[in-house]
Amino acid sequence: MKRSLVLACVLATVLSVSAVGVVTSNAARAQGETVLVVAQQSDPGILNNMLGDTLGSFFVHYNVWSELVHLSYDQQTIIPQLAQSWTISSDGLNYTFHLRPGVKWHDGVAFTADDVKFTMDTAVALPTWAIAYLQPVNSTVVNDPLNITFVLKQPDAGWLTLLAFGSDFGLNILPKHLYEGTNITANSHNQAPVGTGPFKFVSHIPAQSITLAANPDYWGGKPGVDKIVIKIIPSSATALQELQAGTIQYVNTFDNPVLFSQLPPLAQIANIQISHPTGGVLTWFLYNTRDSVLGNATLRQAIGYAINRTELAQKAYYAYAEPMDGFYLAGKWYNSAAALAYNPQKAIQLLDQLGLTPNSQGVRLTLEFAFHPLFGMDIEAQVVKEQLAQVGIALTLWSGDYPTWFDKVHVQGNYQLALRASQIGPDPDLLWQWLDPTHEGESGSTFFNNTAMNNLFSQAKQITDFTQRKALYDQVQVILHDNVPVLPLTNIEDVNLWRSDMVSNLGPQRNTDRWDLATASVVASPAPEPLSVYVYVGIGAAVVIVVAAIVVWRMQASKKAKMAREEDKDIGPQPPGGPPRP
Amino acid sequence: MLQRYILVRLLQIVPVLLAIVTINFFIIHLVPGDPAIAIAGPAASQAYIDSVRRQFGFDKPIFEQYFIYIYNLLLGNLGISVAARRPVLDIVLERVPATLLLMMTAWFASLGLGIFLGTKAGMRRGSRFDRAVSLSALTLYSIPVFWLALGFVSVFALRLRIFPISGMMDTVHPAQGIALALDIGAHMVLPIVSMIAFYMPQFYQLTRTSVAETLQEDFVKTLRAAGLQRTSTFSRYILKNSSLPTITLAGLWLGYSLTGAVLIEVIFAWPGLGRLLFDSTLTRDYPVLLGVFLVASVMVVVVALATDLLYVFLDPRMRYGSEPS
Repeated sequence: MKRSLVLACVLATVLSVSAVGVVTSNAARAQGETVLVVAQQSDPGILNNMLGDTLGSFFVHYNVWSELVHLSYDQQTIIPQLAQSWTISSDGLNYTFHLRPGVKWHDGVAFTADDVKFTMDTAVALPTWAIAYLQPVNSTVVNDPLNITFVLKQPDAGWLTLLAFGSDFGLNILPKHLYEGTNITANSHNQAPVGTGPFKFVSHIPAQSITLAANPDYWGGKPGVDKIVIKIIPSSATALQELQAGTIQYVNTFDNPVLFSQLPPLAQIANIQISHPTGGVLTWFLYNTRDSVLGNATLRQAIGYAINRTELAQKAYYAYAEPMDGFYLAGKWYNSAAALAYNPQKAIQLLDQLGLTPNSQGVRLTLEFAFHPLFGMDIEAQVVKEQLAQVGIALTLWSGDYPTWFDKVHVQGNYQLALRASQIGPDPDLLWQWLDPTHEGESGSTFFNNTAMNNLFSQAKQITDFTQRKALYDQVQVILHDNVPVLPLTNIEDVNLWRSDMVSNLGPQRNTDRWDLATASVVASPAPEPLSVYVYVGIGAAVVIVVAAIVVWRMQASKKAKMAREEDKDIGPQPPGGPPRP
Repeated sequence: MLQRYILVRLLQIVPVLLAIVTINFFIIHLVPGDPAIAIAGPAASQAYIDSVRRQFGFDKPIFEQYFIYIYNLLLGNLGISVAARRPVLDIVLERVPATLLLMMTAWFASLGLGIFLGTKAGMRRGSRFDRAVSLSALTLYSIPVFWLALGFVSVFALRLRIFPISGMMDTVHPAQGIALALDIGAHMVLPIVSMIAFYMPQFYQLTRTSVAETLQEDFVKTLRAAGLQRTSTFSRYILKNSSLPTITLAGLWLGYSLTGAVLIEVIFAWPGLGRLLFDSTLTRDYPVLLGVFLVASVMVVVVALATDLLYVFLDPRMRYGSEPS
């Protein structure tokens, strides 16, 4: 018994001493090395977004890989990356990219136009999801190691923007020398990428974290941070707690969807900075125009007038969204003549005209409303329900997770009114994919087929002159206003939260991108997690106390048992294995 | 007799597993939502969606898919993950240690604490100790586990800074050897305390009731009449005779343990199987889902068998009885 007490004391001492060792050695290691810790929600199975069917990791995509061109944060300009500049032939068919000289892969091999051609050919041949962005391309021709020409099938004014848009999500240039002749999807470099970006891949511990290290040879200059750790945290509540504790310095809501209701209290905390530029994720109604009730354009319009989108942005998104009143984002393609502003009187008037009179409960008609909970749309759906109830339209809510919802709305087309969210992208032609009546994948689920509009879209695509093109899209917007097959509601802002006392110069601050970490600089790296020596001393002390208590208790028990044994002498031996149960 | 019983039980596993595999397969495929579309993601072209279907065999009739699955399973091939493009077996197995570490620790702690407190309370029913522990156990059991977990985090991790908030280790400042073990230990405290708060009350209540019942039996009266006091020896006789319900529950929980902590694993970002299940459901990664279900089912079956065998050793009636059922 005394032996166990001694053992406990030794154990406790070892614990405490080693704890002191851990804390001091960690502190020593942390000195001189700047670390930026960011959070992302899902564990990427694959670190090559071109093959990442679930679009793995945007932090890795943006910081380890590189693309030809990027899109600016406000989605208005195209930013050169591996392509330093480009020229477009006068017939609008040939796009020649002039590549940045002296760029090296992370393994030291030189980057050339062959890598670009190999990537584009692979993207189409496999195929990958990126095929959607290369559909207008007929072929790619390598002119010399630093010049490559993309030949289009027909002039396409929106293609370069489309390429930049796709590049932000994938279309990362692959190293030909590591992928050629291998099974591309099973290539081990998909898990350990070799790119040309500002950071080199170091390690990925499944479901825990991804570590990157600065690439001193980066063409844009050595990054400002030595090491990046991407922590994988599935719960946004947990991620925000880590941000408050300073064990994470930066969270963006694209990779880590935060409940909008969690934001107002965070905005009150002094060293947490929130930036929320326009994100370009729109929420909108899809109307099933084949439906016996919603086949009526006037009814669809009346619903449009009954929705107060300003209130929607306030209530559902705590003002971290902007109301939409037209079919394009406010900007150069927007046509104010096609605005469909909030006007409940007009909505009621149209409903009366249609002969939809309120019954005794004030209900004119009941519609099914299908939504999924991503992007805070579960709350938005509730607000929509309240608003439509005010003009006598009752909604039956139907909700499912995204794949289930997708199946109902886009595959089966078995819905009345649906709420969806998506990026629409910078080019006005990108709206076409949602209206294209050929019904492939997600497009055309409204079953709206208007020949005049279809023609305008295909015509406008081939015109490069802005004024001429704009005139056609103005007409498109008028047709959409009169027929309302879809109705944009809110433009959700891209919320970024970071510790202003620990990190500065992040992408959102410089207006480059939410995933841009190349120029970030760290003022204070996160402290080692096992926090204080006192904890281990405390644990050690607790162990000693518990063991001592047990020892004392055993000694007392054995003393009692001894006494009991003396008393038991009269009873005789006990049956083995305890007394039998009756 | 005993050997025959064990052999029969082992052979029974085969049809049970086959049934489980079959049911799992069809249940998963009944869930609405086309995996090819979930995989291909938004704005995918039809050509790409079709290629995904072909690649993973989703274009074949469901019965053909089923037989291919069973055939591969017999070869020890659980398929390729749709999201990670890696063998499912590797993905599942790399998550098992983390889950086992967390669940086994929580299991032993809950069971030990539950039996210890339950015996004490059952022996002295109505005492101040019994009332205090029963009330706290009931309170802990009724608090939703995620709420309790978040509460623990905000008090002990965020405010007092005693324990880390989430994860299994500090990957920003990686440690080795004994320091790594301590680091993992510190990360385990809050998830385990949260789980104990949920599971311990069940073991406690069961043991307490069972002990109290055993105390009413005739052999106890005999022992008492013979002059045995409430010493530890006495507790041991009582406990042995009242342990069967607790063992049943402990076995059940152990069986479900591989996937039973989805919520805890998500809140604490613990890299276990529960989270894999959660992520794979969202992406409709059928091969991984089936893999996790299979491993979890095998665990349930094996533990159920072990529990049954344990009965045989604990209860002499089953050992010497004519035909154990």
